[in-house]
Amino acid sequence: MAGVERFQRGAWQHMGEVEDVLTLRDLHFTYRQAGGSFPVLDGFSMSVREGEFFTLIGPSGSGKSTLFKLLTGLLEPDAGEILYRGRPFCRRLGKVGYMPQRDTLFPWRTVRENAALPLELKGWRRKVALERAGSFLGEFGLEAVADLYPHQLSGGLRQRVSFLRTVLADNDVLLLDEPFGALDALTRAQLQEWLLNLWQKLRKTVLFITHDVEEAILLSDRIGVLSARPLSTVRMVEVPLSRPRKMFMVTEEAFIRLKRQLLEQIRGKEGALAT
Amino acid sequence: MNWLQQYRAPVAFFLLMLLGWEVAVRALNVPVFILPPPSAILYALWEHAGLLFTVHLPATLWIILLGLAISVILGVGLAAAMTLFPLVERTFYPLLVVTQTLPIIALSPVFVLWFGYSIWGKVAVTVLISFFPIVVNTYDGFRRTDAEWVELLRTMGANRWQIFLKAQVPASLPMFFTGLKMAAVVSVIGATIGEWLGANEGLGYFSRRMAHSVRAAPLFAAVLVLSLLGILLFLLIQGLERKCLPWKREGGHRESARQ
Repeated sequence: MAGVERFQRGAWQHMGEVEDVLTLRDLHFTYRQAGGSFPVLDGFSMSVREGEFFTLIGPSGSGKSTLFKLLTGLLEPDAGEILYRGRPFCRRLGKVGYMPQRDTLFPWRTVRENAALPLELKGWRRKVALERAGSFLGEFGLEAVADLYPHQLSGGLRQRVSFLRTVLADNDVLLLDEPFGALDALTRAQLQEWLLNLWQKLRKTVLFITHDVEEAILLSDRIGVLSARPLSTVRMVEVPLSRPRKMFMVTEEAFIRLKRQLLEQIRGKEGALAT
Repeated sequence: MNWLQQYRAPVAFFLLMLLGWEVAVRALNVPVFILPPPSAILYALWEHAGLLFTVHLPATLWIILLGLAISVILGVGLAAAMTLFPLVERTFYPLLVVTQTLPIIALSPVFVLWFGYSIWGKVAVTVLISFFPIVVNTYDGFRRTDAEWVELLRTMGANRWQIFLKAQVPASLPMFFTGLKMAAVVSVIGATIGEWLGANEGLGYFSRRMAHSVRAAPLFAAVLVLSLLGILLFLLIQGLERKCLPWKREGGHRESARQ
């Protein structure tokens, strides 16, 4: 699966020495509850490169969401290090964009107001924040629904608003936690294309979680296949497809070969989980 | 038209009940001072309308409005303090429950003792009875704010105060209005009790005077006005709620179970 031609996103990627934006080193984390303790991370290490679209895939309950909570700063690891551009990444809250599984839009805010929320939190004046959020609505395909409330929107539109809100928080790294998991296949395909298109313009580093192997291949530069819980290793797989990605690529031979390989790896791990 | 259709059943039942009452009282020859028929009550209402609506109703309404205003300020303030400072919660929440176990009827003379026949004794009784639903509901609203919203705001770098303002306050508004509606209804009771024990005007005072002279029909008329007042306040607050919570319209609730 070697081959430099698969990288089409800027010369720096050919140089091999791409800066790591996020580095996780030997992380340990255990949930402690009244019912006992559940080790989630056991010496977990990995890194995410500048500007890449990186996807984590693995059996459900493998602790992907816990990993995201550690990265956003909602949780602190018991041991190990989280580095941002090579330096210890303390006080992470507010520095990593996080898009949760459920859209969690505020029902009392219109689309525009929901999108402007991170700007308001930064102390922007409400009017300026709304104007700034408004200037993004067109590009995100939300102009027509700017003044509607979340309950008036379809699931797909809600996820778009949620993503815009994450982007407006203006962090280099965006964590997207199964954002399309609850959508029907058609809407999902539409949003995948929409997301790819925006990602190419925004030039952000994206860390994506999904259960869906096809989605992972279609979107990512690299895929990390997680082991069963407690997480210790992640197997890195480079995606040998050119950019820009198109939906029809799912029928290409390289795509199908990679899909089979990933499915086998994941199934192998689920088998291990069962024993 | 729509309104009429929606309330057809309760209105019909109510009218039927009135009719049954009228017929039963006449058929059984119940003395008027025990239970007057609806017709007698309506007549008494018409007879005393001037006094009831220009003197007693405004007096009572004023007590209710003052009492409700103070209850809202006190109730929301306490609920916010309990949400933001755990020590306040631990200190005041149990005491709150205690205030509701106090027999208000027994306490009212104490207020009369303290405040004399001034309006404040009656306002105090009203506040004592109506601030409880406001505190409890608003506090619950603050506390039951979706944990996912709070987490999301934290990942955006929000501080405690921002989380309170941006998530907890708006999320608690529906609960606040529920509390306010309950408070409005019981505030009528509070004001009446207050006036019953020490006043020289007001619907409660009027009722007591009529009760003492065994004039059941005007007594019932005053009770009718009080009850209409409660309904009116309730509907007013409901209207205000609709206006303040436009996102609650159209079937209202946040769909948590889509997919």
